[in-house]
Amino acid sequence: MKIEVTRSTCVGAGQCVLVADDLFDQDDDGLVVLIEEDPGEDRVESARLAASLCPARAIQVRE
Amino acid sequence: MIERIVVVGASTAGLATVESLREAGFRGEVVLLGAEHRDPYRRPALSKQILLGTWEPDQARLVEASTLRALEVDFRPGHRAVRIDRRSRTVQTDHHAIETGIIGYDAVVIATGASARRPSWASYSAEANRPAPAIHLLRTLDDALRIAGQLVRGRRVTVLGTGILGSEIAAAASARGARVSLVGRGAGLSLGAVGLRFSDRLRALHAAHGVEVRTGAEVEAVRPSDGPGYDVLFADGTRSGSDVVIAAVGAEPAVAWLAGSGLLTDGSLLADSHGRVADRVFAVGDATSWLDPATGTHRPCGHQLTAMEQGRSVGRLLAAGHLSPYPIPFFWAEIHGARIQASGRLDIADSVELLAGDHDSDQALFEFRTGDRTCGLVAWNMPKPFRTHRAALLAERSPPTPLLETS
Repeated sequence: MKIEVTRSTCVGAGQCVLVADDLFDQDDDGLVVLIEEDPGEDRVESARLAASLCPARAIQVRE
Repeated sequence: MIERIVVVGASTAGLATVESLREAGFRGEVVLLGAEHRDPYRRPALSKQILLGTWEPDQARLVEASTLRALEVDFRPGHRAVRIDRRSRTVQTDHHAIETGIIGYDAVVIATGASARRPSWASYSAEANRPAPAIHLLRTLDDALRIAGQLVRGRRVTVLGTGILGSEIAAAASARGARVSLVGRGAGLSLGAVGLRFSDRLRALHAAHGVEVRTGAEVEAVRPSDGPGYDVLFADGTRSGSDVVIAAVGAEPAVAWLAGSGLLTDGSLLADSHGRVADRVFAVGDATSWLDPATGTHRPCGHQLTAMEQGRSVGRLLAAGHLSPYPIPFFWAEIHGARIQASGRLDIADSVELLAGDHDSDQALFEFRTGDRTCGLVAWNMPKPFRTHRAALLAERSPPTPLLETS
């Protein structure tokens, strides 16, 4: 699995951190910071949930 | 047995429905009808990056073409639904060919969104031979690109409407060097469900960026002026000149095409807390109002994240019978670079407290309370504390309500 984030479209809602704080963080402007871009398969579900709940759709999960 | 699902409307809510149908394992046919000749795009960006000119139109895309393909969805852009027939379970579109114009469904999800409201004085022209004034409305990407092309340095721009959209448009226009007036009949500047509580903050923000704000001002007409541009005529007899006039005076659910379907209640498309309108008929996004189990009232969706969560909720229900909790409202605005974030049921608050930051600074986090319970949060330029406190708000979310029989 590979996670990609697009900071230019991020709106700083923090949804991803609420769902998976082991994969995502926010910088001081609230924009997404990817902690783990290639996590184990056991994290697929939470990465997908974060992607589908991102209001800016700034997260892509590729398998 | 549900073999074909028709999703009417290809914006945020419709697309989220399709994605979650697939994610939750629906293997049947999915048809996605889009009224516009475009792939789905991010509507919140229209009044922000697109008007500011910082994004190319393509950056507003919600999905890559390859993602749409991977969803194996029969996406039909430029097909506007015009009628639904519940007896024959068909949706009729404005497409001429009979084989593509009438589509059968086992379940239908209505996601036709909303249309920008036209000010009453601008909907017709009293003198038959005079064209209606060129008022801009903002709802689609085409609208936004048209307006962006008008936001030229030095030009006089009048924005009608004192809500979030009006404030965002005014801010974008001033950032592009236009001379901007923000006018409306409201007593102050409002922030969605928050109402006028932050009007003074918004006024200060606009003042600091040279936007002239005129509230409590009723516009009666906009007429071509003797010189260049237009005259904006006010009810008190005053007038002001403007080169560009943009109205942001609200939106109406786009449900006129459902007239006669038996699905509307007093003109509104009402759904239960899981998006069900009637047998085999669901609705998501700005077209509908869902029953909020916490207040017992129907609430319009209004914002992108709620639209996504509603689509997700209906997709999972249809594909897997999974019940989702009612979405907690969340929205954000960007006005003169300030990031304003809001979450919760802000309209039911009876008190507001400062949680962090400072009343007088550009950073502040407010807690909205009803009785001794937190019902919402509003942050100005404090995204991380906002998120931390929002976790607590979401933790109190009630579990999904049970499904009741529909008619």
